[in-house]
Amino acid sequence: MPETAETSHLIVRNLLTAAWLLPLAAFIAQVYAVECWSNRLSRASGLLGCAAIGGSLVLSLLAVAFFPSGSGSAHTADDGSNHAAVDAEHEAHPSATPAALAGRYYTLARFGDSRLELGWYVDSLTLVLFVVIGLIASCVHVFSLGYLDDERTEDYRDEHAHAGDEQPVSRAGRFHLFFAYLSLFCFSMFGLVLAGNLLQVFAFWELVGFCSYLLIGFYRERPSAVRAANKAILVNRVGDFGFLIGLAVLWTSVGTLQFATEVDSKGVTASGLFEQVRGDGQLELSDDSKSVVLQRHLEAGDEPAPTRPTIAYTLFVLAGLGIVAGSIGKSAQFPLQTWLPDAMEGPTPVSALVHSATMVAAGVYLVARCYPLLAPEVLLVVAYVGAATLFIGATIALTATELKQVLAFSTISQLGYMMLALGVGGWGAGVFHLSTHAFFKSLLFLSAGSVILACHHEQRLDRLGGLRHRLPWTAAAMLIGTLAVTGVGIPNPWAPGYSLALSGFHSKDMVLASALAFVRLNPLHSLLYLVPLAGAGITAVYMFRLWLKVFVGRPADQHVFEHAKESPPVVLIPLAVLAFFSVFSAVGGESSWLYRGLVTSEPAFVAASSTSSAIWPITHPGHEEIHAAHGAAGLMVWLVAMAGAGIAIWIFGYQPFSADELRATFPRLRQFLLDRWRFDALYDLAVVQPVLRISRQAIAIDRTVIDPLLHGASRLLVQLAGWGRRIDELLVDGAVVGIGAWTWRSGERLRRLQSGQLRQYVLWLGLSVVVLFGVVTWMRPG
Amino acid sequence: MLMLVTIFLPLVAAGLMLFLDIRATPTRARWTALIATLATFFASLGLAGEFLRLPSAEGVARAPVQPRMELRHDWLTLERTDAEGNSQPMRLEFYLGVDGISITMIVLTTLLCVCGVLVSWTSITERAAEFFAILMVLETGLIGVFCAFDLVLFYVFFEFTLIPLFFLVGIWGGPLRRYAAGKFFVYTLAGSLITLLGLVSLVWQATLQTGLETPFSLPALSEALRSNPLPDSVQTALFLAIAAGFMVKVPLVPFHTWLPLAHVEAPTAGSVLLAGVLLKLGSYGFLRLLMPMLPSGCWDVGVPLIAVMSVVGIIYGSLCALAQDDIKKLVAYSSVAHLGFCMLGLFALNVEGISGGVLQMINHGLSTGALFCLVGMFYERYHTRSLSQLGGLATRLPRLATAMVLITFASIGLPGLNGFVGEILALMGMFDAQHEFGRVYAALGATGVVLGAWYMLAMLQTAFFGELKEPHHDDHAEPVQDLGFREIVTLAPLATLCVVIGLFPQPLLDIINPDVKALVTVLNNVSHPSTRATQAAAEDQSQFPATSSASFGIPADESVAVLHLVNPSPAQPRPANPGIGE
Repeated sequence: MPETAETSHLIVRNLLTAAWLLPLAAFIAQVYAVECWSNRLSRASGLLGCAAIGGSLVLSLLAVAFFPSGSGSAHTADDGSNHAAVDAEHEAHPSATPAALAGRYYTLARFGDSRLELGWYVDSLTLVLFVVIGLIASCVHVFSLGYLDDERTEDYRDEHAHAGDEQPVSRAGRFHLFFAYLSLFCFSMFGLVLAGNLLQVFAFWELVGFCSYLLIGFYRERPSAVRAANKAILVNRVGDFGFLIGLAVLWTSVGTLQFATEVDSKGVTASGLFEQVRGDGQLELSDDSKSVVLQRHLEAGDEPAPTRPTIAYTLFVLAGLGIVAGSIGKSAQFPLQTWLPDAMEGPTPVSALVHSATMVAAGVYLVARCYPLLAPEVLLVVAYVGAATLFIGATIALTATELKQVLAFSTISQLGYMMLALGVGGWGAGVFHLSTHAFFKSLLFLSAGSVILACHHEQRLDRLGGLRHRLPWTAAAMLIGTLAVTGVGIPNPWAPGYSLALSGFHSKDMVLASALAFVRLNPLHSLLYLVPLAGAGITAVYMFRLWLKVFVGRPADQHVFEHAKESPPVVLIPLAVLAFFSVFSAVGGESSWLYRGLVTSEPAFVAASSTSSAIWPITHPGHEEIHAAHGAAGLMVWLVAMAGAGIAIWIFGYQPFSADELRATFPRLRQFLLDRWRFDALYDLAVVQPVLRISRQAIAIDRTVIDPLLHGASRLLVQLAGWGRRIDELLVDGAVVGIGAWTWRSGERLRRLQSGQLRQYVLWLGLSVVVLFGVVTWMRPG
Repeated sequence: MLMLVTIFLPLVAAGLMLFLDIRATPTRARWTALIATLATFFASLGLAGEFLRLPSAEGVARAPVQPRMELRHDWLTLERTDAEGNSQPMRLEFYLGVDGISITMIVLTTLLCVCGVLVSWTSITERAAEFFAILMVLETGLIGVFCAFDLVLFYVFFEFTLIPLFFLVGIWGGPLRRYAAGKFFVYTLAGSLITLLGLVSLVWQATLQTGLETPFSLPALSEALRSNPLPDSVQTALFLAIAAGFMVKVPLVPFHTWLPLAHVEAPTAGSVLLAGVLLKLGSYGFLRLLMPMLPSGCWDVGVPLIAVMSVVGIIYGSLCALAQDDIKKLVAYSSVAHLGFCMLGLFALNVEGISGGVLQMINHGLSTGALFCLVGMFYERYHTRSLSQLGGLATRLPRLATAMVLITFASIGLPGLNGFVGEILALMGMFDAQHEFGRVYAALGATGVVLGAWYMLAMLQTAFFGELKEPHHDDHAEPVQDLGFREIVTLAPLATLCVVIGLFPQPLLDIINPDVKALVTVLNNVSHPSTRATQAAAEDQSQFPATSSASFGIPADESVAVLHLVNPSPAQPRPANPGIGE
């Protein structure tokens, strides 16, 4: 058993490592190609990127096949006796998290006991995300071959960017560059998911942010695109600030950032974060509930130390909040959601891959990954942040006027659902929704891309309409996506998992079930169920509004309509693939392969209901409670979603009101939503402008306070020196000159002695001799 | 031997240029300079190679400051009369050496000098021979500081660097060059004079207390002060005095106003060396002199004072950079912020922090050096550095823009590039530090991560992206060219090192680790004042109160009395030195 486990570990690790590094290799080749062997007309760069990411997908699938699926339970059993099958390859299984493989590639830096290293941590969550990322990235790569085809030119005219003279900017195409960026992104994203410790997560976290910067600012001649790119990275940095502090707390008080417990070649065990914080599942509080006791691995012969290391509970909460702050930035959660809508300036395939399916989900992934490190209070914060976000996002999407904007706010809202699920203890529901959402949201974005391509980059909703006649395949794909995200379907009351519904139905069901179970246990937090319920209705309204406005009704702009034509197969095939997964990936609900695979990675303590009372009492539902709530929650969310869909179809399908009437209904509310709840204005007023003002004042301080002080000091010195000079001239010089003058005068007087008369000289000589003789005699001692 | 070559080769070359070839054409001058600096660079690489081949010093007993390769000769011997009227010899030495910290700084210096010559290739045409000669004189001074293990020698080199830079700024600088050069010179000199005062009294106190024969030798002095530390209050006063010059040099806010001015006015090569190496003399001084000699001074005043100043520097420098229109000034202020990170790391006073600080010294040298090179290249093309006149230049100068993006992200700490490791180590170190407000300082310093990204990216956004906007230039009609071969060669090593250090910092950390550890051992011996107080209390209650009061019990204001009370180190018998033939 250990031997087969060991080999399968190695195989899985090698496969995933290869899958991770393949896009990097492609990136290097593509960058090299920019200068050396490609011309702007060549498709080589794109094909290379597709090949690399396709390879990654295949390798990930192989890794799934080789992953010791049965070993999950086996190891859990082993862990009971506290001795996992540990081999000499530094692999171990923390008891809190079953069926995870971990180890390290190499050490980045080392200080005594603490290390910063590159490692891996593989469980079913990692694997699922590898497959999902690989699949979506492959689709997006292929799609981009078609979408960016017009970049394969020496002279690309960018209608949205203007040179000084109102002429469109003309530039060389950047086809190869786009694929290079995409490859770099895939590498970073895989690295983020594979990372074996928090610092590595942070490093790749920043790297995906950098890729996102490059990709949002791809049309770098457009000022709006560059502004959006900067905004994305800066808002993310605000979250990263919290993340860094969280890292610092964990590093200093737990002493490691490693997820898993490791055994090195000398047999010394270094307990990982998860084991230290939750050795046997629950947090172990000290007697006064003011600190968390850390559980370090003990060697067989060791006595437990009399005082075990602890971490103050407030610090523990702070660490959790820090990590969550990072997630809030990356996953565009309230209050840092403002960057994501702007990020739609990037090319549409980028929106599909980076800003809906993968990178923005990294925040959710991080919360899920670090679940054992989050105190119940932190989870409550996560839940409320999620609820606020999903509501804000959904309401803004109601009035958004551009195709991609609607989808962006929908993404924000759906990410809010995931956060909410994680926050209320529905770990499985959260990551399940993460996976299904990746499929249907990238499907929606790619469909939108197809529309945009067909309509020559027209994406204002009031210029589109009736396009289903022109773009039947795209319309169908988008309808599938819409049905999936709204959760509309025909439920099967006897076997909810096998309802006639798409993937989003199942995963949203799970989210709502978790929320309902949580609210039943904590009636104080009823909002956490009501808000997502309302959100489900709003989701249905805005999504159907979108679909109807684009594909149904009379064409608003005849010119756009006339010129629209269905996209080529290279664009449509990825849509078909994603549509397939949007439909079938969650068939079976709780018993689907996806969900069952994911929950094997669930931290052990989640399964059972638990109550914590460190600061205020919160009870998290276990599997049983969630399962019990499933029926009721499912029914309610279905009703609400159907109602929302009905309203949308009534208003936008049958159009009982004219567009102007609609606009005039709630003008202020509408303006408020159009201004996106005025967050941008608020931040500009409360943060950006003050900082800029302070910074201008800082320069002024340099100029008007510090420098004058210096000048004053130097002037004082000069003044002092002036006095010194005067003293010199008057006293010292005066003395010297005075002595000189006196000597001169004396000389003048003495000159009279020099009379030239011999007798007088002899007289003086004689007198002197006598005087000297007298002096000598007088002075002589004795 | 190689050490002497590394130090004096540039000086010799400069002498030859000045005295034999003063009328050299610019072409001949720059080739001579390039060959000389390259030779120096390779000599320093050779020195580094030799250094790396040394047997591991792990576990060997050593002084807190200990060169791992050394070259020492007696220089002069003075007579000193001690309290009992006996005459004691006091030796000054010509003591050069390298340890892990200095070897990295030396290689950085020689590399940046090569870049400095290359970047001045076409921009300096007037009095080129003198320019390059002075540049090389500066190089000698800088390397000398890092090699000096004798206090007098250290100070001489330290001050000596001012003179060539003064001329570089004053002769080849911008319109305000005289004011800038004068301000820079007088300001730093004023600081260093206080340092000199502090150093003299440090040596005096140490000699009185330990009767050291070679009180100017850093290893001997640090060793003696470790076993026989100065009283706390004396350490405090000395720390303040000695730190004065270094604080101006680093510079810490509010002593920084000379820096932006000097940077803006200096020729590109001057800026590169000023930012890349000269500022590090300050932080190097903290590492080399203050930490080993005055450990409890570091804890008592160093931590609260310097850490606060660093945090203020990070935030204040970033804010100032944010509102700048002049790119060069922006980079100069970013130096203030980055050096703040560096000092924050150093004054965590633990291994992570100090390693992070040293890494940050190197990283800042590389990335800011490269940034100044880029700004210089930019200025040569457009004759303006004003952001408001520029825009969208990535279209016109794609290579320059690529380099700029890379270096910018290195400087704001993108993982995989060098800034990240240093920054995170410095912050983690500070967070882990044993002082009360360590976490607060670290958290405040971390805001620099946000602000740093803000001003750098805003600069990128305005100058390189968006609509193309070129300043009007009719003085040269030909279109602006992208980076040429020479410029790529200038930037390539810096950019490469940024990536390499970002990916593989451990070799570098291994080089500096023994020295950092030795420092931390000294610092931990005294530890934080609060814990020290409890220790002292515990010792007072112990059976031998006399022993504890022997080392700590001398009040500072009776330092005159110390003169008669402390007899020269009975605990430390001076080793018989066979070198002195009696």
